[in-house]
Amino acid sequence: MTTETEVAQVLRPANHRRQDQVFKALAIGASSVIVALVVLVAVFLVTQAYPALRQNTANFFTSRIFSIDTPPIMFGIADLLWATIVTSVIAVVIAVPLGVSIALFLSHYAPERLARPAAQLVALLAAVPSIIYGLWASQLVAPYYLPVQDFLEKVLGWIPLFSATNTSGGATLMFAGIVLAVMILPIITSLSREVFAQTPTFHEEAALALGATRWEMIRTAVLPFGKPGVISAAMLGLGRALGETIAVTIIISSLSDQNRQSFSLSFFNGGETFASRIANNAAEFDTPTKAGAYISAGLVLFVLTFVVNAIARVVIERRRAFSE
Amino acid sequence: MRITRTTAVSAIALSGALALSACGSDNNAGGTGSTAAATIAAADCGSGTLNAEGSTAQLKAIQQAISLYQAACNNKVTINYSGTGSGAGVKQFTAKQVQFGGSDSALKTAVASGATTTELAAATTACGSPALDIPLAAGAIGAAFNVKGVDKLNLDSATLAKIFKGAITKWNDPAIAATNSGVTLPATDIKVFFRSDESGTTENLAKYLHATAPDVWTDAPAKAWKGAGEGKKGSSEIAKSVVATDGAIGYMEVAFAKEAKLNVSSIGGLAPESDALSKGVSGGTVKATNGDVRVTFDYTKPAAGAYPIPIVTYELVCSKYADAAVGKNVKSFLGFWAKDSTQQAIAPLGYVPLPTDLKTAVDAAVAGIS
Repeated sequence: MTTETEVAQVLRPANHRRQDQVFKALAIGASSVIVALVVLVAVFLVTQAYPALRQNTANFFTSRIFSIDTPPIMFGIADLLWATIVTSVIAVVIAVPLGVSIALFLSHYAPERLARPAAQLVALLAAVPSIIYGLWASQLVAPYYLPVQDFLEKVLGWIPLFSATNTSGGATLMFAGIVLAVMILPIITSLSREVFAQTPTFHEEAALALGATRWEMIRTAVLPFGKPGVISAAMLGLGRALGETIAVTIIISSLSDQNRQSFSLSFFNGGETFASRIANNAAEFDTPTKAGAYISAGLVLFVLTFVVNAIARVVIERRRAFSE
Repeated sequence: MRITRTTAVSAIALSGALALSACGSDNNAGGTGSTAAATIAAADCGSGTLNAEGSTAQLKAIQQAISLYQAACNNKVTINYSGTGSGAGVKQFTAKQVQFGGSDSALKTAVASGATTTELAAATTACGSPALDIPLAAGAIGAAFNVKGVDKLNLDSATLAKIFKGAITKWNDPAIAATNSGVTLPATDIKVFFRSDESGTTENLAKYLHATAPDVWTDAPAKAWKGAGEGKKGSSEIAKSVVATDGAIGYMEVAFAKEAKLNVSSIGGLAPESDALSKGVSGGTVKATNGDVRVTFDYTKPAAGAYPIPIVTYELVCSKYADAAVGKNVKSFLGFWAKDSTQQAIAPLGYVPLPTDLKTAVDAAVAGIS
């Protein structure tokens, strides 16, 4: 009896309406905080970067110089952009096939009792802090990676991308890319797995009924259905790889001005990404101009990541329209 | 949904790891050399908490001084110092985020490009009273190396400059062999490691190289590296890379090389050890003006038997703190650190006790803090 009256009280129209309004206000408040945060970050970056960009006497996008200690102030992001893109693209190129294979295994090959713990293990990879990845890679994995690099240098050295440089050991763009691949693997795997698992059963059954083997069924039914999902997973992974800071800062050696005089295409070179350059120098933002120069580099990273994530969102939205 | 959850988890795990690693870096603060038991009269102990940050060159010294001080004062005072770099030390002190800062170079008296005032003027404004530089840790910059089969090395400044400029690329170069008779040098490539962050250590080394080998090291000294090689963030990362790489050479405050058990090259036949080291530091010119103590070195005229690349690192303090209790704490701690017994206890880590003339100036400066 009491419960019925309680329920009746809870559902009393006046009460009901008030709760509804309170919740609506909370939800609107929470989401506007997010929007405001992003806008404020963008405004902060632009206002801080602008004075430094005004004083910049080099071409911001094409210059490879970063000399901001003494006037004339000159800085450009060409080298940072190159290192950032090379490491992230290597990461995605390695992580996507690997992640998709793992996802297919989990969704279509593994028995249920194996698939669950395996999926959680992959998700657990995402819980490893990036500083741990950095230390693990530079201290432990680098010696095992060296023979691979030496082999590639020997066999493919005639291609400029794989030519030998004087950067030591595992402190190269290539190695950083490989470590980043491990770091973005969980995102790519879990997203792809979820999309693959959503493949309409009648698509799969139709393929099987037409005499397809399991691999043919996956190729003709699952992969086409999951393609947009995989693309957006790759984009989200790329977004993470672009902004990864601590692990990259620990792994890659930066290059001295002298070593940078001639531009090297090699993946086996050192370098600095946007994020690692800022992390390396964060302690020394002692004048507004200096800070502004780094912040304008940060602004480019912000825009880059924003665009990549936006593309991923668009692809996801399109797919949703498709499947419904 | 899954993604947001895992990112949240990893964010928590990351901050946890950072907190843990922050604890880990304080390791050897309590251990060595404290048997001399520096003491302080209980009445002179402050109370409460002091926060400071800055230079990593003095990190090992200040950690030791803090642990001795806290022990002597029965933990009535807590002092936190984080080694975030000289630049951060100056910045945070000027922004009133910390009660005192640590820096490898004294507050600049010339206006930097893009700034409106000098560092000294800005710090003085922040304090509301003249800001002071007080040198409390003296040591040296060493060229630590890792070459298979070589445990003793002797270089002159021109050769060192050429190595750091990338003009000499093999360990068995005749220029290196000339000052190392009897040592078998391998044909290994030389791998130079430098600080990728802007660093007081880099600036001081560049000052030395520019002064003693101006035709090789033509660049004006700056906090950013102008030589060859590959960059690593912070002295301890350099030490780690040198340990891990055959044929490596890198520069750092000697205490870091000692901690990493790296061999340090002699310069002009003098190793950065006890006697040569203190002679090197004694060679500095002390200039004290109203409690602001600055030390300059003339690298071109080293004293006989003195290690040629000494450095002195400073504490940045206010001469009169707005909060008298803070002033008392700072005065009490710095006074304790300047004591002979404390300086002696810190020396084994790779530092030198302050020479007499410097100590006199420092004592007078500390006495004036309120």
